[in-house]
Amino acid sequence: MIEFDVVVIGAGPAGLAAAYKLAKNNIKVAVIEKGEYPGSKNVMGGVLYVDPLRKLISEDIADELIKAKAVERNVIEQNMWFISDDGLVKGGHRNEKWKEKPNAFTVLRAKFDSWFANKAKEAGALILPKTKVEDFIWENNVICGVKTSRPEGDIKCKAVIIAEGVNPLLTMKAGLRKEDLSPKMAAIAVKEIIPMPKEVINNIFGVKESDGATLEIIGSWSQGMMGIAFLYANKNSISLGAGVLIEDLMKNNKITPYEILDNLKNHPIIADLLGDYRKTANEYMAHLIPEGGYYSIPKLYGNNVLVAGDAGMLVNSIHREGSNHAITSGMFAAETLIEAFEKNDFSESFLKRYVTKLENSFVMKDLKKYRNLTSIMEKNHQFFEVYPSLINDSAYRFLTVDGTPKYDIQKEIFDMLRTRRGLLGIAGDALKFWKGVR
Amino acid sequence: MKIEDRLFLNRYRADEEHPHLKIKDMDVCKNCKDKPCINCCPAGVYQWDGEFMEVKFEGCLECGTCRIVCPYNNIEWEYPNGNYGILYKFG
Ligand SMILES: Cc1cc2nc3c(=O)[nH]c(=O)nc-3n(C[C@H](O)[C@H](O)[C@H](O)COP(=O)(O)OP(=O)(O)OC[C@H]3O[C@@H](n4cnc5c(N)ncnc54)[C@H](O)[C@@H]3O)c2cc1C
Ligand code: SF4
Ligand code: SF4
Repeated sequence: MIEFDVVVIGAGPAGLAAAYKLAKNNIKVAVIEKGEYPGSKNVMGGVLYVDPLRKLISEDIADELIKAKAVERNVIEQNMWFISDDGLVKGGHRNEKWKEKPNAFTVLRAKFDSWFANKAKEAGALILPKTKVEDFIWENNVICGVKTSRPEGDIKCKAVIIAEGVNPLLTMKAGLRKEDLSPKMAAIAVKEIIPMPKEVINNIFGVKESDGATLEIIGSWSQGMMGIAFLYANKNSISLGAGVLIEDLMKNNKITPYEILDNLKNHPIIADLLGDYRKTANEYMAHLIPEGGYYSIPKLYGNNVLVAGDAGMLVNSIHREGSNHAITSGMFAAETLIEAFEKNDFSESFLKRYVTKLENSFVMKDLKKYRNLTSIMEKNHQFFEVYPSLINDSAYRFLTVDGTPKYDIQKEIFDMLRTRRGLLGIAGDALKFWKGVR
Repeated sequence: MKIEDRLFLNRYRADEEHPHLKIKDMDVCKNCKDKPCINCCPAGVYQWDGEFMEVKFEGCLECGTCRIVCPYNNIEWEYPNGNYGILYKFG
């Protein structure tokens, strides 16, 4: 039987960050990945924040990423759109400073994960693709290796990092999670890659060559379901996707995820934006996003085992931060094991310091801060339905000049708010929202 | 775009001999009122013909939604074997 110091399950950002860090510290690590190559099973909207990679790899990583063509565009502008059936209110921010020091790049996972895996390989990790981890090998109730789909594919090790992503099958098998995900703990997102000439993309987002922008869309397309859509600029394509809470999709029980995406594309304003390009695509994909936040986090450590990334539900869905949490948690998991090798102690009580590391970082602090926001949003669908249409109709009324004095217009808007949501309702929503983000 | 056309864009390596999704008990599906697997699956894998739940597992995108929505835990769900299943070139 082969032996490694550490086996990492899954070559996503969490697993690869852990492997990179371990290998750099001369620990013999194998990453097991079921896909043909790292990234071949993976999907994300596509905003990769650079900071965690600066901390993990080097300060110059942004230049390296660009040179290696591992990223698409440097995000210099981020937008949020609120749409009603026929209107649009925009908000956004662009900053020149992001041109000098990139904050985030858009990425395509097949490319980015492959690059990241090569980086881990160069550091000394073994990447074992085309291989599925089926189960653990136990000895005296303690995990001491993994069983893989390969013939005679058992691998022994001192510790395992579970970085299997959002479906926590092995996390459950390890006994760290008692129950599977429930429909309110995850969103189902679908996404298409739509090829477009560079000039068209630059026009849509108002950017120049190599500069990128993001666009998030809330509103009528989701038919009141809790959901967010996105449109991100890649080099020669855009990533267009939409995700809704599974619980809402079940309740709706009429529309499929891809019909929701078509809804969005056929919205007159989005249809104008995309033109005929919306009728073509290069690839169609689907993936879950952990939405449960703080309260859905499983036990992240046990004897000889740690959980990182989406498997630990470490996603801040409000800020679409997942890959950066995955990289950071993978790095902390590796640091914890490096300390464990120094002390030769892989017990649960020693590995607990992994959670302390997470708690002292932005990862757990942010998840704690927003711990109630998801459930507030979930119970208050007006945030996805009534408000986007109210702000659009208010803006329309305010900006339409038809001889009505402004005083009367304001009164009309006020009456509209009162009848459609109620003043107490609005005050209550504001309070709830404030409580959620405070 | 129809779901068939969408799936047609993708690359798959189907493991014809080993379906990775199986209905445990067809009678349970018969009595399942809303059949959420049908509407929630982003790949149109589940189709009910009035008697029988057809599972076109070859088009599965391996998201896990059906596993989560089935109220009766009636789907035997696993990832396809190593190297099989969906193969994204962009992601
Ligand atoms: C539509 C969408 C949009 C998103 N947008 C953003 C965004 O813009 N910015 C952002 O930061 N985050 C975003 N996220 C979240 C981000 O994608 C995840 O948080 C991140 O990928 C988690 O990394 P991970 O390594 O934990 O898991 P994953 O990236 O899911 O990797 C898990 C890996 O484990 C492998 N695996 C699983 N089980 C086994 C097994 N048994 N044997 C072998 N291999 C196995 C899988 O094949 C996979 O490669 C988005 C997610 C989605 C779905
Ligand atoms: S949800 Fe489950 S029980 Fe219901 S029809 Fe689908 S597979 Fe059958
Ligand atoms: S895993 Fe996802 S794509 Fe596959 S059958 Fe289930 S819901 Fe459909």
